[in-house]
Amino acid sequence: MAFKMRLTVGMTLADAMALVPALVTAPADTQGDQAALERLTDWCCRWSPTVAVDGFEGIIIDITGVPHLFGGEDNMQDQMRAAFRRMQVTARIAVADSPAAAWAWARFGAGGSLPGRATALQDLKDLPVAALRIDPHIAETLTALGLKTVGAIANLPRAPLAKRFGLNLLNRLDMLMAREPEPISPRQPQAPWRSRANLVEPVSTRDAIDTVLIHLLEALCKLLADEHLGARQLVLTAFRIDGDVQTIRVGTSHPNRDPKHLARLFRDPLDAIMPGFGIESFMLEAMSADPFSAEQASLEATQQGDSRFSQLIDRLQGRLGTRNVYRFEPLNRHTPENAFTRLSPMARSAQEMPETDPRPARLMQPEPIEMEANGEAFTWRRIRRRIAMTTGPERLHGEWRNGGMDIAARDYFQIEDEVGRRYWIFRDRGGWHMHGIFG
Amino acid sequence: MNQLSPLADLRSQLARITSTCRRPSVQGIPIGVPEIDSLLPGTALARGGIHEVIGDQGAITSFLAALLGRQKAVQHVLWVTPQGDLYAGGLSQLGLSHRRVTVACTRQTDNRLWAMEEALKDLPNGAVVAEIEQADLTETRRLQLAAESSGSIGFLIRRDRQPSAALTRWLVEPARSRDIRPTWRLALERVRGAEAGGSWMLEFNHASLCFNLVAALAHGQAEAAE
Repeated sequence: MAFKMRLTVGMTLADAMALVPALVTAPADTQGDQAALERLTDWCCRWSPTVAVDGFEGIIIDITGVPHLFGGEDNMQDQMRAAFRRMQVTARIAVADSPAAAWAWARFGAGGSLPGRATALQDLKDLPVAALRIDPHIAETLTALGLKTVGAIANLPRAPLAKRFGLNLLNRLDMLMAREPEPISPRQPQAPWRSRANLVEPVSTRDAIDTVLIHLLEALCKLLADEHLGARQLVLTAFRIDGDVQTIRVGTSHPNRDPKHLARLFRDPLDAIMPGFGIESFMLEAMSADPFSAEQASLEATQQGDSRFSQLIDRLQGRLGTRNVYRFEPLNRHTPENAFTRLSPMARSAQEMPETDPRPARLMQPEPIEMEANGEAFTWRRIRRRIAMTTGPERLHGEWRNGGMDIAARDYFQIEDEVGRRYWIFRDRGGWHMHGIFG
Repeated sequence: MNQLSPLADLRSQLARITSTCRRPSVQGIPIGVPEIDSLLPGTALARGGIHEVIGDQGAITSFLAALLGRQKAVQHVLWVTPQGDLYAGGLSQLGLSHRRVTVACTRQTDNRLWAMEEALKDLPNGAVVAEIEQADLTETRRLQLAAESSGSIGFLIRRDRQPSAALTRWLVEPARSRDIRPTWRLALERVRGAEAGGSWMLEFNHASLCFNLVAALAHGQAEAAE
């Protein structure tokens, strides 16, 4: 539409308004555009794991070793075009041996597969110098000098060219010819272990998703088994037909390659997947894996209780959060609230429990209490408790940590009230505090 | 209630028969006081089931820690709690080593119910303690079935005395001690499929990690289930 009215990119607003007085304009949302491009790029992971955002309007996909999965290069391009059309994204697609050649062919050439790969220059030589993706000023200068095409430049002696226009021009030329590698920065970190499923029919039901997941897990676990590894962290990526991309991460406490167990870890997180009008592709990656030998597997089978325990811990941590499932490890510190740290339940305990005076079964944040002057009773949480028995004090000093005392000296007492409740209270310079319940 | 009870009775008998047939080898957890254990089917807190505990939270914590602490065969104790205030120093002095305790901490009741059920399915040689506060009959039945299927044992700490599928219900309250040692008033309020009950004073012996019976407050049927 805009094209028909002779509007072009880069035109000033005043010129455009002069051409089309009824023009509806909106300020450019560059951030929004960039975010949308990034989302689209993520979605392109369904074609290949190595995708990168290229400038403001481009996406680079490294399809090395990929096309056969989609029925060849041409079929793959057709599928891409259809997918973009469905999303109402106008796209020009080019396939070439180097990112630079593809960039040039998509923007200045005919698009599609660059014919005559080995002699890329044959097809690219007629493209304007701007196809080299060089500074527009240099491109203008070259054109003014009569060097209008890529081919014209390629035939010139290199040294004077570099002297006159800078090394970048030669670099771009070499990249175009695939003589020089052009690094791209992929959006997603590459996972070495991956399985993917491109579905003929998009799926949206939970049953179907579960079925796909178990297939992916079986394939992935086979890969891991070949390398004697077990997965520690898995990422499932779902590609929706409307271009939306959703990811789910799960972790394991022990290397694991049991598809059934791993599927159970996904059970709850999968609730968060919004299938929309359907998901057409899934990718499952092991982001990290640890050695998991066959002997270990059989050992774990004999110690079935242990592996059941670790699988239970995985499920608990998956739903409740890793930090909310823990065990205690003594730290050899005097301050009661710092005497233990929380470790993963699967971590082996190294420390022995230090010998101390009696400690409560539950320890709370110190709460101020009102101790009566004669010491017969105290009030805690608005209830007056008459003291029946007391032992103590046990003096605990603070520790030098980070250049200061973490707590002031405290005198701890065990107190039993007339009902038989036993408390752990202390007095410091700030007065009396409730710290724990013996029960 | 009266119309339901013969049915419930039959059901519990059936459950007991099937679960004991399936797992004759699974040992229960005895309290270690013959006067109390003798009232329980199998003379111990049966595995393959859940047991309810009501009463004072502090007293329940120390009592269960001591009860499970003595059972060295119980390798894993999963403690499901809404608060992160369990203290390993105190638990280990009651015999429950920090190596055997795993805490699952979550504020949502349905998450705690879920965690308990999952653990019951997968801790055949362990025990689950869960501070649930409130659970209805259906929820306790789910837990009971999960325990039966794997032969695990669970302790459900709750506030109320609603109908439940648990095998037993206990009341644990603090009691005055001789020298500020853990001492409890323990009452057996209900045993599924049996008419048993009683109330005792127990104190903890730190040296032997045993319960000592201090004085029988009310023996026999006095506090039997309704």
